Amino acid sequence: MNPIQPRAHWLDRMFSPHMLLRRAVMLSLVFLLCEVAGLRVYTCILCGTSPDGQPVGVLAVFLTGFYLFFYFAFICAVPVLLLASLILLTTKRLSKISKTSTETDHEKQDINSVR
Amino acid sequence: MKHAVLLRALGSLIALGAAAAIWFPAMHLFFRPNMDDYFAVKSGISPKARAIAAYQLDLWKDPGKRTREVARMRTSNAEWDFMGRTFLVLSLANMALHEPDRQEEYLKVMDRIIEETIRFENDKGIYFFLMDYAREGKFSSDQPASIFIDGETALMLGARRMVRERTDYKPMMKQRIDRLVKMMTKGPVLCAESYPNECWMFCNTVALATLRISDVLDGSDHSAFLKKWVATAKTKLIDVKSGLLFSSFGLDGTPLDGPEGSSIWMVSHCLQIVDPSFANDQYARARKELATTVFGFGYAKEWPACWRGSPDIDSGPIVPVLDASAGSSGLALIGASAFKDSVYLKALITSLNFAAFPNKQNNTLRYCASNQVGDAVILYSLVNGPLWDKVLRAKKAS
Repeated sequence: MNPIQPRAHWLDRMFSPHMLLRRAVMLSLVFLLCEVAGLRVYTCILCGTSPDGQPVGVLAVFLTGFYLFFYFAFICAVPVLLLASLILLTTKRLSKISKTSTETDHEKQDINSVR
Repeated sequence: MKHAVLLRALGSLIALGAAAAIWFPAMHLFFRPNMDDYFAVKSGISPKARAIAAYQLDLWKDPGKRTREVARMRTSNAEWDFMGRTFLVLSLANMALHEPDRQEEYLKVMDRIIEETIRFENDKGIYFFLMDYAREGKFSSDQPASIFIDGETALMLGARRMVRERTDYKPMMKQRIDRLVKMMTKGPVLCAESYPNECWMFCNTVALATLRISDVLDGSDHSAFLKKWVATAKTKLIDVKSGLLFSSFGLDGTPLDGPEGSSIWMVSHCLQIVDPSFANDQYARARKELATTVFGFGYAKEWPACWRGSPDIDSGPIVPVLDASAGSSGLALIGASAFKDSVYLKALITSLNFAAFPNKQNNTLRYCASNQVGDAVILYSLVNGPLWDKVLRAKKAS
């Protein structure tokens, strides 16, 4: 039994293009939900203003933090995840193509040498 | 196997790094404003300014809405209620000068704001618009008087009268002006208190601008006093390292706070009609010490490198690492627009679109991360110009 294997598997999964894409979609969906729920109005807490005229409570602070986290994730992280998965998919495809063409070249060489 | 997995993970990290290197410098392009939407090309009001104004005017047409909006601000700071009025009146004065056709509509709201403000002050006293700690000390004058209240009230009256004279406002303004001069000349550094033994540069320069406006309106002459004030400020109220004016100090001029972004942008704007070259000098120094642009996003720090203060209600929250201050960045819009600093102004509006959370509804616009006073400041930065120009033209003519 190789103790390294599960960790390696986890690393592979974590950074796969599909996993990056899935994370981007997940973050976008949660942010969309925050927008639909109208959490944007809670950002007034940032300038020390109460959302409803009552002293700011724990729930309001939590909702502000929640919205801000997903807003910045949507603006800053989602495009990075999408671009990274695109780069990874492209490099994978390119390496596959070059691998295939190298293999084809080798096969051609083998056929020629047999002839 | 292990080696291959690690290599693949490293490759992915490099891809993430490359993606970040592409995205972050390009991100501002998605928030960059079309400046024609914010500033009218020749005259008139830009679409964004009109939308912000529509929201603000709605508040003065719907008492219930206004009460809610004011209550939201007063839970943390009663001053904002007052300053929100000042900045809205200043904005409307500029808009009225931009758009003579709609003057009547704007003047109506300006009058309503001024009358209600003075009524509240008369009925509830000056403490109604001050923070609670004002009651803890004693004003130096026999009767509690704050240059914050008198200066901005006189400025509102003056702005209104600059658009169109209202004879009943004349004695009301004169009474305030006389009190301002009396309070200021009594102080050893020609400044008066906003709070007990607390002089704020913001309030004192607002008062100076008001004196200049009263000279234009009523033919008085405060030029000797204004000259003396600038000379005193240059020697006694300036931080030696940055060359910027202190934001607050005791009656004798002992600094309480050093130079602050939440003060200096408006201070330099007010000085434009008092001493334009000193105003330019202060703006240039503030720009050098406080203005920052990162990846196309502009913001302002609250303190210069040589002076460190602690965050308060004026600075707003400070973003760690960047040192960006919400209060300073908001008021920097006024500075940048007043001094026609278009590059910085564009960068600031880019940040506004990114981090102030604009909310458009039925042709109105407000910023969720802001409040009524913040939005009024933004509106003022988008329409300011004609009022100060009129004062400067009149001064030249005289």
